[in-house]
Order: sequence, then structure tokens, then C-alpha cells
Amino acid sequence: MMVIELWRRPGRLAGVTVTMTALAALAVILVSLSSGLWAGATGAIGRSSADEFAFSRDSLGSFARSRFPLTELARVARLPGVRAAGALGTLTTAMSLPHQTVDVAVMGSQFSGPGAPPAALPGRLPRAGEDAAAVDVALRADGVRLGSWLRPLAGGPRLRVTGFVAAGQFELLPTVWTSLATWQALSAAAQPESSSSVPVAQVLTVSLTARARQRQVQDEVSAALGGATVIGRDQAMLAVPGAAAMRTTIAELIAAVLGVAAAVCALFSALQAAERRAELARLRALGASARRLGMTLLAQTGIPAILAVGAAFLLTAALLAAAPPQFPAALPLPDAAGTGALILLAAGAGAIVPVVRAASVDPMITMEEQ
Amino acid sequence: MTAEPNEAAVRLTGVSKTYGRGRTAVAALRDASLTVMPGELVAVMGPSGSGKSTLLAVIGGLLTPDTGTVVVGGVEVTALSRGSRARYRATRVGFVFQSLNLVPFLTARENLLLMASLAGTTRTAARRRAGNLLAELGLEGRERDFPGQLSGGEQQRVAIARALIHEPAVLLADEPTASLDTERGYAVAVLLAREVRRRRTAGVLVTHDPRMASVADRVVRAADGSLTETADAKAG
Ligand SMILES: Nc1ncnc2c1ncn2[C@@H]1O[C@H](COP(=O)(O)OP(=O)(O)OP(=O)(O)O)[C@@H](O)[C@H]1O
Ligand SMILES: [Mg+2]
Repeated sequence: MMVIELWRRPGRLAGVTVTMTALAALAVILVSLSSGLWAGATGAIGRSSADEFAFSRDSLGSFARSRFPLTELARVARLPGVRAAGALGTLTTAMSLPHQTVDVAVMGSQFSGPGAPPAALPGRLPRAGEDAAAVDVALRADGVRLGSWLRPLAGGPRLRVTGFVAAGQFELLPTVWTSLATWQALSAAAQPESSSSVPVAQVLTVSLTARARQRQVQDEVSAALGGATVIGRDQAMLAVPGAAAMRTTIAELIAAVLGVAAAVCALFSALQAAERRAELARLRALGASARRLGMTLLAQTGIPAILAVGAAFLLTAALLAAAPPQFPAALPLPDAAGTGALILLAAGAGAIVPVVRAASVDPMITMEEQ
Repeated sequence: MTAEPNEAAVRLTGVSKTYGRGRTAVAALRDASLTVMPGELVAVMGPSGSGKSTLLAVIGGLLTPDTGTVVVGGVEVTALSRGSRARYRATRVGFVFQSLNLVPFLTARENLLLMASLAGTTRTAARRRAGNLLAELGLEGRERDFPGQLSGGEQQRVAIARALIHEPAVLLADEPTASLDTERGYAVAVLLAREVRRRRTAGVLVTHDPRMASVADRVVRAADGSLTETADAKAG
């Protein structure tokens, strides 16, 4: 019955609702930005059909420093638990189009092995020995069409676009999928110091058989490759340059916002409790239990917090709908639900101490203040 | 234990309460004893600081005395735990304070229903009793008014109705007419006395005003924490 107050005295709760809405919106926007940036940074790896990624021994799990001669591939493919093995090379570089220049991530692939895009739609994947590329559909917005030519600014072979793929981004750049030989030629032109006379790749990829034990296969692949670092797909996504740092930074921002939300709820509850000490003591004197008063007070912070979270989601959804399509933000449902729960948790955590203190006010002050 | 018909509703025996300790200690009640029968209204008079509010707090289970026992409606209040005392207040005690009695954002009727819900009265019974009580206290048509829309006298009448809705063993009123003018204050005191007698509730009315005390069956004087029965008890 006491919760009626929320509707009878809306002004009293408007302040905290508005503040919490702003904070919740900030948290939700940060989460959607984080999801979007994460997808942009690691999408090409995250959507990959490869289960395991092998980085060479001294690479410290970095794509750029990792190198394997392609001759190693056959050995890995024969290991127990390995269904298929493939190879991948990455290079971020600039390509010029007839009217502009775009930054892209060149992804060298065998096309047959795990980690390659499944097919080009429309068009086709490049053939062996052909300096061609199947490119991210996002590049259509830059005027790339079937048959367009991409000219690498750093030199190396020109690429004819033979198809489009929906393979996701890498390092926030649209991907351009070429053969490993083409990737190696482009890498040699862009970074002459890293050129190699034998065919190489950066990482080897593995897909597992249905019955394979992941740890065991990782160990065997590592041993076969002379102590390579072999990690699963989720770990490999964190190995994308900048991805881990970006995720940490945004997580810290979100934590800070949640902290502020908890502080706001704590302050609001404490103010409420102080202001209403006499009223609460009177209810205690009439026989309201501390538990009942506490639940009421908690509801009075919780309901505005729930309203705030709802408003924040609507606000963010509207912002995302209005944002340009390239804007790196997305709000997958599990992330959204998790964020909402975290904000409510922060609100509850902030409110709990003042609420417990207020609810256990000594009813005797009622007699003293007469 | 339930109260027999001719058993006291309130029985205080040798109750003492001292606030603080050492040189700042204040003896608010000294060896105080008091008996109130069901349907009896006792007025407590005395100068400021004589221990009147402390007496009500002890009967109402807001304060545990240092010595002595308090039995209300067959319940030994002084033996209750903290949690049980809240339950005791909700079910056996009706409080009327000097002012600011009512929850401001609830209507007159809702204030009564809130008390009934604290006491665990069923909804149907609570609604019926709320309607009857408000009507008997001359508040028909004001059920949906908020405290702010009611005059001081009307608010105190709602407070009396609220103190009775759960059929308590004792009604405790601490200067309930102090914020009203004499005329209205007296009318409220008369209503309080009438309801106490009609409902066979024990009543303890603290007041400074002899005119208000005249509605009571007995007057007890408080001085320096001691209680003395006075001879000038009102006849009939
Ligand atoms: N919490 C407390 N701490 C210390 N002393 C207190 C406390 N409450 C009351 N006292 C003291 O105890 C004595 C009795 O107080 P009490 O409030 O019972 O008097 P009272 O008769 O109700 O007075 P009044 O007519 O002014 O309301 C007073 O001297 C008062 O100062
Ligand atoms: Mg007093």
C-alpha cells in the first residue's frame, strides 16, 4: 500500500528516475558500442568455421608476428582429432578505387580449409593463381562492384573483384579475401622486411572432429608445430590487435557508470531516509516490521530504476535506428538483458545499506519528538 | 493466556526507567504501578518531564523498562523480543499521537486500512470496520480525503479511528488534543472516551488540560516519574 506513494507523489521520484535514466542510457549505449566495436574488430574471426588457431612459438599470440611455412599444414591435417586444417594471413592496408581510397583488411586464405568464407554471393571466390578478391559486402557502399579493380597503395598485385562475402570485419575494417599467395605478395610489398622466399601463412587453423577433445588436440598441434600457441576461437578474437584493450577500456567505462548509478541510488535512498525519519519511526511505532518498511523503501528505489532501464533501452534503440549503418554499435539481446540486470543490481546494492538503516529506525523517537 | 472479562487489560508493576547513566542519568519512571480495566479510560496528568510519554512508551512496547513488568491483554510485554514487540504493537496497541498521526499520501480510509493490514485483519473485515468507525466518528463523506484536506480535529478523529480498527487491547493517546483549540479538543476527547467505553478497550490519555482529563474515569498524577492516584476521580 505504501508504494502508492510513487503515483501520488510523482515529483518526489522524478529526480532519481531522470538521473537513473541518463545513467542507464549511458551504460546501454556503451554496451552497444562495445558490442558493435567488438563485432567490427573480430567479426571475421568470430564467424570463422575454424575451431582452433595456431600461432608460431615466438609470436606471443599476435597475428602480425606469427609465421608458419605452408609445408607444416599437411602435418597438422594428419593429427588425430583434426578434421581439416587451413591457413590464414592478415594485412591491413589501403586500396585505391577509381574515385577514392579505402582501408581494408586483406585476409589470405586457402578457401578450402577452415577459417575461409564459405562462398561468395554473388560472384565467386578467387581461383588458385589468380590475383583476385572476394570482398566484404560493406564495400558496395564505397562503389565496389563485381569486376572492379582494387589497387594497393603500397604496391603489389592489383586485385579484380570476383565476388562478395558476408564474412565480417577485422580490426574494424572491411575484409578483402585473397589467396595466400596474393596476400604474401601484398605483404611483401607493404612490409619488405617481413618477406619470405617460401610460401607462408600467419596462423594455421584447425576444425575438430565431432569426438575430438579440445585440450588434447591443442597439445598435439602445439607439439607438431614445435611449441606453437594453440587457442580456441574466443581466445583468437582477443588476439586481434587492439581488441582486448578496447574491450577492457569499455568494460571499465561501463563499470564506472554502474558505480555512479549505485552511488546515486545510495544517495537518493539516504536522503529519503533522513527526510522521512519521523514518518518511518511512526510507522514502526504502529507496528510495521523493519522488513516490511525495508521492502517498501527498496521498491521505492527499485521501481524508478526499472522505469529508468526501460526508458534507457527505448532511448538507445531510437539512437541506433537513427545512426548511420556504418556506426559500430549493436545491442544483441543477451547483452541488453545483462546490462539491465547489472544496472538494477547496482541500484539495489547502492540502496541496500541506507534502506536497512532507515527501516530499523528506533520507533521511540516518535514519543520524544512530541 | 487471554484476558478474563474482569481481568485488568493493562497491569504495570514496579516499573522503573532511567535514561542515560552516571551524572547525566534521568529517572523518567520510578517504581510506577498502574492498572487499567477493559472499557476504562485513565487520564495521566503532570508537568513536563514527569515521565508521561515514557509511561506510554513502556505500555506500548516502544521501550523496555529497567525493572518491573508490563502485562497487556494477557501478554507480558516486558518479556517480548524486539521483533515480537513490533507484532505486539500492530495487534494489541492503538496509538494516537499529538500531531502528524496520518500518512500524508494516503486517504483517511487508506490510513485505517494500512493499520488493519499491519495487524493482519482480513480485507473484508477491515473495509467494514473502517466504514463504521469513520461514520461513528462523524467523518462520513470524508473517507477519500487526504490528511491535508482535513482540519486538525478531523485528522485526530481519523487517528482515533485508526487506533481502534484492529480492536486493540489498549489505546494510548499522548496529548491528542494539544494542537487543537479547547472547543474542538474537548469534542475529540469526548469521542475518544465514548469509543473506549463502547469497545471495551482500555484507554490511557496523557494530557496537561484538566478539562480533557474530566472525560476520563480516573486521573493519575505523574510527578518526577512517580504515579499517584488522585481522589478527584470523575463519578460514573
Ligand atoms: N531519550 C531520552 N534520553 C534522555 N532523557 C530522556 C529521553 N527521553 C526522555 N527523557 C527525559 O525523561 C524525563 C521524562 O520524559 P517524558 O518525555 O516521559 O516526559 P513527559 O512527561 O512526557 O513530558 P512532556 O509533558 O514535556 O511531554 C524527562 O526529564 C526527559 O528529559
Ligand atoms: Mg510527553
